[in-house]
Amino acid sequence: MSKNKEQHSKDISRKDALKKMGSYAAFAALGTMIMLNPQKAQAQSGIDPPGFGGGNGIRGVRIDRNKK
Amino acid sequence: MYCFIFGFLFLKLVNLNIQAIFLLKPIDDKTVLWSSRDNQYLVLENTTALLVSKLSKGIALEDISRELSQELSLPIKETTDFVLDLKKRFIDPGPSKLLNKPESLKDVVVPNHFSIEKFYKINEVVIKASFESEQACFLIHPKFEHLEVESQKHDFCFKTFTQDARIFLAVDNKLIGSWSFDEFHYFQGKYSMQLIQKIHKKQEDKWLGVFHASAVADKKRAMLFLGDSGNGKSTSLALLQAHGFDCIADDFVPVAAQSQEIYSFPAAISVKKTSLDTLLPFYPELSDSKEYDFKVAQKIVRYLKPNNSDFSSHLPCKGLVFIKYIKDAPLSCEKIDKITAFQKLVPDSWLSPIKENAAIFLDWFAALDCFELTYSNNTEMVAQVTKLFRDEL
Repeated sequence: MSKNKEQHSKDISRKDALKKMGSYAAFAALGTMIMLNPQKAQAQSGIDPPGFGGGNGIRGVRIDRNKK
Repeated sequence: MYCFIFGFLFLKLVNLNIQAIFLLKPIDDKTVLWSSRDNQYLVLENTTALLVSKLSKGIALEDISRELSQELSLPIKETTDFVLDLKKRFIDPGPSKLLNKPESLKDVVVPNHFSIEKFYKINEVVIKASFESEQACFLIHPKFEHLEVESQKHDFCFKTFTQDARIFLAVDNKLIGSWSFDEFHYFQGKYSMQLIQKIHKKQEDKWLGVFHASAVADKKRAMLFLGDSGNGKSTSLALLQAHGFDCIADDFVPVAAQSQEIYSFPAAISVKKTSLDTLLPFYPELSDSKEYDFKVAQKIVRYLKPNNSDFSSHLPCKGLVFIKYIKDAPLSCEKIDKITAFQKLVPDSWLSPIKENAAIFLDWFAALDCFELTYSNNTEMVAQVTKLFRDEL
């Protein structure tokens, strides 16, 4: 009987549970960041001359989800 | 409370020790943070940006973590881990990627003899372009052929040569840089950058950035058209100029820092073979123009002279249009949120790494309208762009 009581005292209400979930959701969102790197230098797109290999400008975006 | 402090801070430049300088700019419901360390832009939640600015001001990690813990009703251990992570990332990061040693050009001698010499007249400026080989000439000349004039007294001399499997550029015998063959896009970019510096009389630090876009104008204002290759940036530009708009720039759009105006870039418009049928009714001269087969890029292109012969023009930017050609798609044009536009814009652009210019760029971008235009019918696209210029969306 006393064990049941103890168990009950550790439970949280639905309202508190939702509140806590909300807090964690807000906290997790804080760790979401999007890193954007501009081109390292001025570039022009797309043509290649015969004999000069074909490279590509580094055009990239990285999304970092620093999940908590 | 966070909002209040943030509102107070956002326009300030935040000094981070001596190592890095941050700029914070609220855009839509996020904050964009610029870091001088790697000329990097980060899109953060407003609260996270505020935490970073507090750390940068030397506020104790424990105090910041405690306040966050109270604010979110979360255990202090969790918020401490998070703030510590931010500190490692922003305040005590490793060595900057931009701290690479600059290349040494001191042992390189600019050759005296060049087998190919071209003269380009851009407004009143005459450029002598010397190339050591056909290959080197091929990297530059096709886009500027329409500017070629007879040999004459020149204002500047651009020399292109190769040594040890690298391409070199010298302007008036001063070495500008060298690039490996697979970095020729950067050689072309630097060549164009040097050209705009000469024709618009602005050194590199006076430019906010260069955008991978086309720029179209209606005499008063210009709009940038952006999008991945194959979405019709250049074709739309050619169609729009056939319908009374001015071509300001194709592929390489410079924006000045002080005025934030879009400046003319005199290169020809590249027209892909797949767009020829669309453009021939407007530009019959394309049927006889030279065709270039770029095998590696799998592109066959011709070059179309811009209708604008005044390459000194510069106009304020009315907005950004992310253009998308989808076969059989109905026309749609809507404003898009700034953060989405920012994510598309930045990785494709060269943006000045100078703090003042980065601050101007953020302010400039935040005030721009951004649109996404999807089309399959060219007539509808032209009509829609006309509406955009008239604010009739």
